[in-house]
Amino acid sequence: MFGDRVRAALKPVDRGLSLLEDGLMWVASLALVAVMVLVTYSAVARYLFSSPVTGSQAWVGDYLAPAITFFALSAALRSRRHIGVTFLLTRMGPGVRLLSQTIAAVMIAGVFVAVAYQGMLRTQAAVATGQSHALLGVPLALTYAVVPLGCALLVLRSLLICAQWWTGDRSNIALSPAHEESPEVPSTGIHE
Amino acid sequence: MDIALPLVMLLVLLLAGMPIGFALLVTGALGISLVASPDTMLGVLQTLPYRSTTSYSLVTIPMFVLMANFITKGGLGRDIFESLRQWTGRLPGGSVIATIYASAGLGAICGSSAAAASTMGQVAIPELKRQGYSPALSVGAVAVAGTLAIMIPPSTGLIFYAILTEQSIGAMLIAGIVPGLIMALALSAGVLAWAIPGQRRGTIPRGTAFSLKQKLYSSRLLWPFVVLIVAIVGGIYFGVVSAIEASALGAAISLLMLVLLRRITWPEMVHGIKDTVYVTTMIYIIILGAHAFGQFLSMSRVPSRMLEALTTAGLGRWTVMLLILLAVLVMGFFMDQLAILSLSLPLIFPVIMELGFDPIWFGIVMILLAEIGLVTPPMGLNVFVAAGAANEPVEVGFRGIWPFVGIMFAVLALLLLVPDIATFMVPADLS
Amino acid sequence: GGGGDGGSTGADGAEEAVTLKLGDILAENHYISEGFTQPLVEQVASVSEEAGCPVSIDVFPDGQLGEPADEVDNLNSGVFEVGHVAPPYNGDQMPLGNVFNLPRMASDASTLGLAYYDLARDAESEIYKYDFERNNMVPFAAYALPLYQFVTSKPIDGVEALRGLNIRSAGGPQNATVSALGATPVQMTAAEQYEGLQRGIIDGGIFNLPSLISNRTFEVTSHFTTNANVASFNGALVVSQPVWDELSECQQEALLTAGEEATEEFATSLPAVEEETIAQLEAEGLTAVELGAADLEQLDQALSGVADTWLDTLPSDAPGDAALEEAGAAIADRS
Ligand code: NA
Ligand code: NA
Repeated sequence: MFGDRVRAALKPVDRGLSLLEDGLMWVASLALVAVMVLVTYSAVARYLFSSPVTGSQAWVGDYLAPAITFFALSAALRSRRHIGVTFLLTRMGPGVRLLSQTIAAVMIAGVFVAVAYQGMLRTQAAVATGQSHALLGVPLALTYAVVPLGCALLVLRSLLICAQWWTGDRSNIALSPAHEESPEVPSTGIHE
Repeated sequence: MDIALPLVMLLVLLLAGMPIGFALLVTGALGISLVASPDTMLGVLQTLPYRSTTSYSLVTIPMFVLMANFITKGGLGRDIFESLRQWTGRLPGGSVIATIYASAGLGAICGSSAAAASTMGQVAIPELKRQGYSPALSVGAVAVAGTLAIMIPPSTGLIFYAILTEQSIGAMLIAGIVPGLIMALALSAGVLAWAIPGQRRGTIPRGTAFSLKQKLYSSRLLWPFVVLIVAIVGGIYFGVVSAIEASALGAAISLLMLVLLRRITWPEMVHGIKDTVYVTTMIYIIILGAHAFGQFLSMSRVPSRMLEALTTAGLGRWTVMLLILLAVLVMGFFMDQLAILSLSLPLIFPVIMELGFDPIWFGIVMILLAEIGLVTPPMGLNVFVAAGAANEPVEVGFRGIWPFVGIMFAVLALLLLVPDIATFMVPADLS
Repeated sequence: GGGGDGGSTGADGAEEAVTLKLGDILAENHYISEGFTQPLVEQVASVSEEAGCPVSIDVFPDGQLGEPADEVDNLNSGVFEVGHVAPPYNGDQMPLGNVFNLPRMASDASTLGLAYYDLARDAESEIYKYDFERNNMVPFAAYALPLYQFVTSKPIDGVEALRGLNIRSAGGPQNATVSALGATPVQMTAAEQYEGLQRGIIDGGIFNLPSLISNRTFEVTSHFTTNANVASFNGALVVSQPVWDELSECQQEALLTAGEEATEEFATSLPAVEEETIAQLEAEGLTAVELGAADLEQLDQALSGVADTWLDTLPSDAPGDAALEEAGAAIADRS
């Protein structure tokens, strides 16, 4: 069947994308730990030794926090960690549900194509004019680049999810965690 | 049309189940294209996504989530419940009261209601059922008590409110202490009033007494918990650290204690960190969406026109306030607290300020409404979580909440009548 | 309607009105908004109206159209047509303007603001070329805030008393300034600063005096200097170059005229604002500390290296030395 062939073709795409997402998840996790260590260290250093780490705010806010957010963005969609209002969704028939979630996923892909492209332009401009962080002196392109990178993965992931719905198992369609699966509707086994 | 279309579309997309942050971003981008131009929208998308994540204050949320993830993995919730159960054992409904105060205690080191309900659901509900409490009461009590975690600091809800309305995070956190304690007191008084006749009729099981020695011995489990409270609440209150530093320090101390006590494994630690990263990206994307949608609203001048309309309509300020509270309450039936705050604040916060209400007090009112929303059907996240943890049907949980919801409304009324409850602890007018 | 449609002539010979969006970074009730931006907007309206080429500026206050740090990018991508840029916020793109925020640059803020305006309007100056022209911005009005002072919650009687204190700094040259005096620089967000002072996380900060009143910092501090002049904060109103090019000559002239008037008026009003502020703070029980000649000399000596640390942070293609020189000359001209 055509659907099966497409599904087979999507498998390596999924694997490759997941590999990238998992790699970026590790970077995001390290960034999170770095925030904990840096903020704690600078508070303790100030309190005990009167010598805070200068620039720790800038590192945390301008470099680490964006990395956590954008590097985990696509993996979070894959794992259904972006919350939504799903009480109506769980009461929809499978056809309506497929359609509504497909439209949602395509819209997400659409807006993030724009975010990724604009983010790339900004990164390029920062490289071209040699902009560096006014306090840290570190190139700004380093941190601007996390936006197009993370958003490009999100675009691919949302389109891939759609393709998988249309060619495969339709019993379990949702972009958000559906805690609110109502008892009247048979469980869809969404809980991890 | 320029204004109505994005608003209607936001509603449709939310109901159709698009994740909140994305729905706000999509409709905000559409709105900006309509009220300004597509080029303006592209310009906004060039700077806003990055900038929405760069607030230093915002890392308070991931740090408190990280701490909560560590301590729930380390089993501190079980220790608190086991110890309190021995102290309240003989009281009518004693174990339910222990559940409430254990949730309040857990709430003092954990900022997420779902995490508190899930922990206590696994720890307390089996014990309550073993003692003979009805499943409805057990699940209901755990679900309701779990909501204390977003009122008692630290709380992601309070921090989220502070960020969206540009209030001091420290002030918001301190303002939650007294209302949170009043809520715990009121809930436990309700249990007592219900359990005394219930025990006589035999619908509520009799309590068990424990000796003083047993009580004191059980309390030895509580020291890591005391260390964390002293470090966080004490640290903020006595000015050793700022709220942001307290959150990172709390995460670091809890990890250090659990590692030294050998109560957390490497995989549990990694899982806790990854889960925090997921929560962080989810919340930051909602904030990005809220900024985009807020920018559309600013460009459309809707909030200022709404303000004008409200001030010329001649409604009293309390009439307007009650209308707003009603709207938020209804949203709470269907929506999660982060959704309610991010959707409603860009519109209603300017009105609240214009009418001269205290922004800190209003934040506490919003959080109390969110607490009610967390346990009311059809979308009552805490009931889902508690029922799930106890392996009970959701409707059984919803049956158990109503007496507690009555008490929550009474506390809400008290907060409206005596706003000082929220503000008197806050050191001074923090700008 | 946005900008870019200016210059066309209506049926009766008068030009059609143009409306420009200003993405302001400050709240409506900030004293820069009340004393500088709003009068400027009114002046633009009346001057252009009189000249027969009406321009109106529609203000979106308080970062509604974007965060201060993104002001240059948002202006260039057309989110708004008029920007309120400030080197302390936009140092990534307009670093040279921060020369005016180095310690001990001038003895009063009026001079500083006017000197900044002169260089912003001088097509030959390095600050114009690097900060404005390179970023496609046409400046038409500028200001500097009252010069920054040491403000503490502990008693001070001179420069020596600052040694060992924790002083809130905005980072960059302010860190070097605080360190050079033997104090510890502590970076802290503006939102945390009140709490920080009240709870003793910090013992003071480098603030401009009017802000002590607007953010109630006076409640948690006791002493302030009146003439340490260790920093400032400067800003400019700019039109994006493509929008500027589409305005008629009459409209451009109106913006420049109104801009110059507003710049002069605000600068002239500053001494009275500062005097009034000092009186208000003293009425609240704070102690004003006027540094004597010996203290000022000690300050000048200790801080003489701060400019070098600032020069070190500049991008390699930014002519920092030249900016330092031309700023000194412009200040001398206006003194
Ligand atoms: Na809490
Ligand atoms: Na609800």
